[in-house]
Amino acid sequence: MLVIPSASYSFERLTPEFGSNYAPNLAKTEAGLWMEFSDHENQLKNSPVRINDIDLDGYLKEVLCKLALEYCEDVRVYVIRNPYFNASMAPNGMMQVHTGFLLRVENEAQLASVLGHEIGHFLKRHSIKSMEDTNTKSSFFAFLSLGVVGAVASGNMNADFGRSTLDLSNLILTGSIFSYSRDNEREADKYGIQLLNDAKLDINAAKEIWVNLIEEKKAASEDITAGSYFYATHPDPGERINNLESHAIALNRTSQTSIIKNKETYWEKISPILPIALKDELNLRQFEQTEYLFKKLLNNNVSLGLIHFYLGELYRLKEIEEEEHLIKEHYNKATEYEDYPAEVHRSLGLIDYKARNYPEAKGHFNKYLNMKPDAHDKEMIEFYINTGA
Amino acid sequence: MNNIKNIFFIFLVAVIASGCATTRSFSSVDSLNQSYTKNISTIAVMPPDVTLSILTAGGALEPQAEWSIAALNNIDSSLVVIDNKRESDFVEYLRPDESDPIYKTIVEHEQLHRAVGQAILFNKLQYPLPTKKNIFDWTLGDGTKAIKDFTGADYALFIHVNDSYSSGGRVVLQLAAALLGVGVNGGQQAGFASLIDLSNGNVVWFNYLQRGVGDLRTETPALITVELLLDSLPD
Repeated sequence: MLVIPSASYSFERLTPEFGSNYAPNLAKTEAGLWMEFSDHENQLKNSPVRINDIDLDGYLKEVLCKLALEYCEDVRVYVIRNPYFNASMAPNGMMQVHTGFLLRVENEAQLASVLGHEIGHFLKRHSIKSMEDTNTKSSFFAFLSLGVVGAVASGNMNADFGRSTLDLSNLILTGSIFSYSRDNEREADKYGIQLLNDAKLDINAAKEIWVNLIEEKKAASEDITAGSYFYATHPDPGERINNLESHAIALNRTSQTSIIKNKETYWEKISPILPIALKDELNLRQFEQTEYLFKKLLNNNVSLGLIHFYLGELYRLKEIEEEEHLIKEHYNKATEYEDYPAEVHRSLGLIDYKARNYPEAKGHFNKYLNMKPDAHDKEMIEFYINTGA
Repeated sequence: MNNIKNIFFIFLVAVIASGCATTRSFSSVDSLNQSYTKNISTIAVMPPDVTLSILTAGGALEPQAEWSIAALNNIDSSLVVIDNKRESDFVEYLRPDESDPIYKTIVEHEQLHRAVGQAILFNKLQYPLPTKKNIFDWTLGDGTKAIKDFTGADYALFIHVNDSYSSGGRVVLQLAAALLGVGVNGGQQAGFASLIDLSNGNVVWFNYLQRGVGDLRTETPALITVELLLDSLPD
């Protein structure tokens, strides 16, 4: 399964393991898994952790169907409020994308590369194969343990040797289970880029996600390409980038590849979740990482008022003296844009209030309440307006 | 000698006949009809939460859709049989359409019951809390009023059953292990049921059942399980 990049590497297309409008045979374990996940999906659909924006859901479904084609009706995608970069696929076709993931994607092509990766897992039945693999190996281990126990009990094997045999077997088994998972990830990467190319979207988007992630973690002084991969469920990001590049080169040789990114469309559709996503990201209190991300977001030239506000909030929370001037700088910059949130005035008002500049504070608080007459902290702000010299 | 043997045999039969079952129940009302002015109380039976799994040799539980559906059907028909023997009525409850706003409330309460049931099992049965010793005051909250309006019933009965059956491989393992003097467990059947007062969400009755035998995929054992589960349900 490991791709060895070579000049003559040719891309062999992957095919689905089942037909569209698929429903598993009720007598199989697969049906049991689908049953469990359908139940889970039902709960998720109605859960407060799910973001239920009709337009966004419609857009994601549209991109999904561009990739999945005849399997369009077999998969469903849900936006989950979670600041971490993640997307997942359940064996019954339920896909979850986190708000933290949507925030880090730069354009529709990058979104499609990850959606394609998840569809790849689904079409190749990875979850089910993984479960069967784990169960087979666990059962094997159960019998092996018994064999060793029997050998020790009957005096044919030394007890210490028996114990270390079991430890080693367990280790090999565990390693084998995780290695199986990594191979599945490699296959999903390949399927994803195949679907991306078929949908005529920028083929380089696939590796960009990982390049960006490595850069972001570097900003937080974390090197995600180092470290032990024994327990890793996914291959090393560096390896993924290399493989995706090889796939892209190979595909380029055989077909007309595209550079369509659809950046403007993506940011227009994502904008409803930006306030929540930015707030949740800031709440993680991982300031270096967040600062890098927020600054990068400025380059998209959308929702600048909102992003400058959150940059101001970031520096306010960091409480570093040398950066204090940046707080007001960003709040003020935010007001230059049409979409700036009312909270800019609240934050400026509070800074003035603390510095005892009461007239300026009142001015800002009043502007806040004018922009947001039904603010949930209206009474509190009115209290600030009425007190103070 | 013969007498003792006979008594032992009778005892053995009694144990086997009872299906090696244990139940623990709690109730805060003696009868359902006393506190209300209506003649007969109605109980909406929520869709039973039933999962049947296969227990593999490696110890994993793999849920089986076909078995679960069969068990659900058997439990449903058992409920009809039991309804006929009771005073208060089981009301047929039709799950609303997904687009209906009440659908979300009902799904949430089904999940909530799972969580509350587990809390009762853990905090009252397994590791009894000192503050819960003589009190039984669990509730699903008054969000159940919406369910009361929707179903028109006074109470709701929630049922949750898990059962597992050893796979062929596991049975082999159990036998091989037994020869070596090592115990390897087989499938277990456990379930709980609660009766909720829909006007305030209070759990007025709760029962926990554990059985070592009883194939829920067939009618008669399923009826026994449901009877055991609902045995102490107030009338």
